Amino acid sequence: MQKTEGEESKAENEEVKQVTLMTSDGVKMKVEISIVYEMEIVRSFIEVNDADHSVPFPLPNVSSHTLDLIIELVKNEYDDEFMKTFSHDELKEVLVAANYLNMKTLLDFIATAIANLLEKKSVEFIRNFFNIVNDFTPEEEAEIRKTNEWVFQDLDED
Amino acid sequence: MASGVPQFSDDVQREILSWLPVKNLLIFRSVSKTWNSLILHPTFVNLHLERSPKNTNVLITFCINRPDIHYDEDDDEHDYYKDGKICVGAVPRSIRSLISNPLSALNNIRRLLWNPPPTIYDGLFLFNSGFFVLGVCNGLICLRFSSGEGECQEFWVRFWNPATRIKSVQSPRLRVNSFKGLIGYTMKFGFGYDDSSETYKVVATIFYYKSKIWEMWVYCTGETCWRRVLTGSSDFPSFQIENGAFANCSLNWLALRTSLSSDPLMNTVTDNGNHLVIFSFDMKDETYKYMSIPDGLSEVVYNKCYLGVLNGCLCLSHDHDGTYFVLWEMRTQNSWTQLLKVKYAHLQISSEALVLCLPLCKSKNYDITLLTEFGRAHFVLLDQEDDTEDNFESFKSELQYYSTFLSFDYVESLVMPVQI
Repeated sequence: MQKTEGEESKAENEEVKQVTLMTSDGVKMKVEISIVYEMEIVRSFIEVNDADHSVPFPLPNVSSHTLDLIIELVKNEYDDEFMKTFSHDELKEVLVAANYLNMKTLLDFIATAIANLLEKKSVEFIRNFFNIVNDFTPEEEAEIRKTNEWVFQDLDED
Repeated sequence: MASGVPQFSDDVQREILSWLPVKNLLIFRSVSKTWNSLILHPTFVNLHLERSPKNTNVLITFCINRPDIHYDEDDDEHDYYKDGKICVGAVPRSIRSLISNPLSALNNIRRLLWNPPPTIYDGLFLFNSGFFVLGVCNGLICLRFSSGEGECQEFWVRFWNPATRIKSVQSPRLRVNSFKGLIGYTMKFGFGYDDSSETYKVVATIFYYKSKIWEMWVYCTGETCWRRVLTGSSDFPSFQIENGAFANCSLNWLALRTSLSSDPLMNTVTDNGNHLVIFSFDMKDETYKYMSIPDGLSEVVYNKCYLGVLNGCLCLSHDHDGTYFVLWEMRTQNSWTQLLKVKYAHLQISSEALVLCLPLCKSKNYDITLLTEFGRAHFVLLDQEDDTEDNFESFKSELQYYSTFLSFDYVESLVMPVQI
C-alpha cells in the first residue's frame, strides 16, 4: 500500500485514531485507524468522503468474530502460530472477509495458508472443503483423470 | 457443512489456487468442470506463474554416452533413444536439494552411469538423441530437431512443459540451403520470452561462410512461419556455442568478433586478433547490440569460457591460466561482479585433462556453488562461507563415460506449449 506525502501528514494529524465499524451481527467495534487503513474498501470511503469517524461504517459481510480474528492477525503482524489455531471455517471466513475488505496482504497470507492446507489433499476433500458439486459424469471424470494419471499419487488419506 | 460458512467466489478460489504447486492443480482439474477450465485458463496460468517462487529450481540437462545402455522397447511413454548409445535427458531439481545433498538430488542421473544401468528412470525425462535443448523459459523447454544433409537442411522445434508433461506439435520448418558437398554455413539458436507481445520466440542465426551473408530468423509461438528479421553481409561474429543464454529480455551469445580499432568495446584481443564479446539480441525489438565481457580478460581462451544464466543473471565462467576457475555475474547492464576465483587444485580437479568447469547452480546468498566438469560426471560443491581448506565436496562417477551437464533456470508452471 503506497502512501503519498499528503496522506502521511493527514494520518499524523488525525485527531480520531479510531474508526467505528458495524459488523453483520450488529456489533459496533472501534478499530485503530492503522488497521482500518489496510482495508482498502473502508480507507477509500473515508478518504473520499472525509467521513465522520464516529458514525459506524457498516460491514454487512463481516461478522464480529471474523473482524476480531482479522484485527488480531494484523496486530500480530500475521503470525503463523496464531493462525494455526483457526478452524477451517474461520480460515474461510477470514479469507472471504479479506477479499471483501480488499486487504491485499491479509488475502495473500490467508490464501497461501489455505493453499498449504490443501496441498496433497484428495479431490473429494477439495469438493467438500469448497462445497463444490461434482458436475462431471463418471465417464468424463475418468477421462480427465486418465490424461494426468501420473499425478494421482501420494495423497493424504483425508 | 455449516450453513454460516461462506461460498467462495471465483476470484477467491483463484487466489487460493494460484499458490498451489502444478501437480496439485493437475489433480484438482477433476474437481469440477469450472475448476478444470479455470486451471487451464491463460489468465490463471499467468497469475500462477507470477506467484511461483523464482530462482529456486533449475533444470539440469545431460548427455551421457553409454555404449552398453538399453531401454525397454515396450515403454512408449518417453521417447527413449532405442539403439543404445547416447542418453539425452533432463531433470528438474530444487536448488536447495542440489546444494544440501547433491549426491541424492543427482541420484537418478548417477544411476544412468551405474553398471549395469537401471531400466526404470524415476523422475528423469529421457529424449531421443535427435533432441537438442535450446533453452528453458517460464517452465517451458524448447527442443530443437533437424533433418536432411548436403544441399538442404531443415530445422524445427517443439515446446515441452515437464511439469504438465504436455508437448507441442512440431513448429514450421526453417529450410537452409547449403552448398553441394560441404557444409557452407553455421547455425546457432536461442529461446526466450517477449513480455511485450507475450510470445515465446525461437531465434536462429545463419552465417554463410562463402558469401559472408548472415541472417537472423525468428519463430514466434502462434505464427505459421519463420520470419527473417535481420540480414547483413559484413563479417558476422562467430558464436561460441549453439544455445543463447536468455536473461533480461535478451538472448546472449559469447562471440568472436574481428578486430575493429574504432570500436571502444574491443578491449579484449585474442591471439588471432579477434575480440571476445557478447552478442545480445533484444527479444522485443528484434535488434542486436554488443556487450563487453569483464575488463582485463584478455587472457581468456575462446573455448575455455561459458556464458550461462544463474538465478536470472548472465554469468560468465572461464579458465584463468589453466590454474583457476573464475565466475562472473552481470547484475546490471555491462557491470560485472566476480563471484568466484578458485584454484582447480584446491577443488581437486585435475587441470590437465580439464576442458571446462561450469556452474550448475548457486545458493541465493551466493555462498554455495555446485560446479561440474564439462565432459565428465564430476560434481564439486563449494561452500565459500566456510573459509577452511576443506570447504568442498566432490562427487565423481567411477565409470568415466563421456557425459555433459548443463543447467537452466527453471520454474514449474502451467504454461501451455500449444496455443489455446
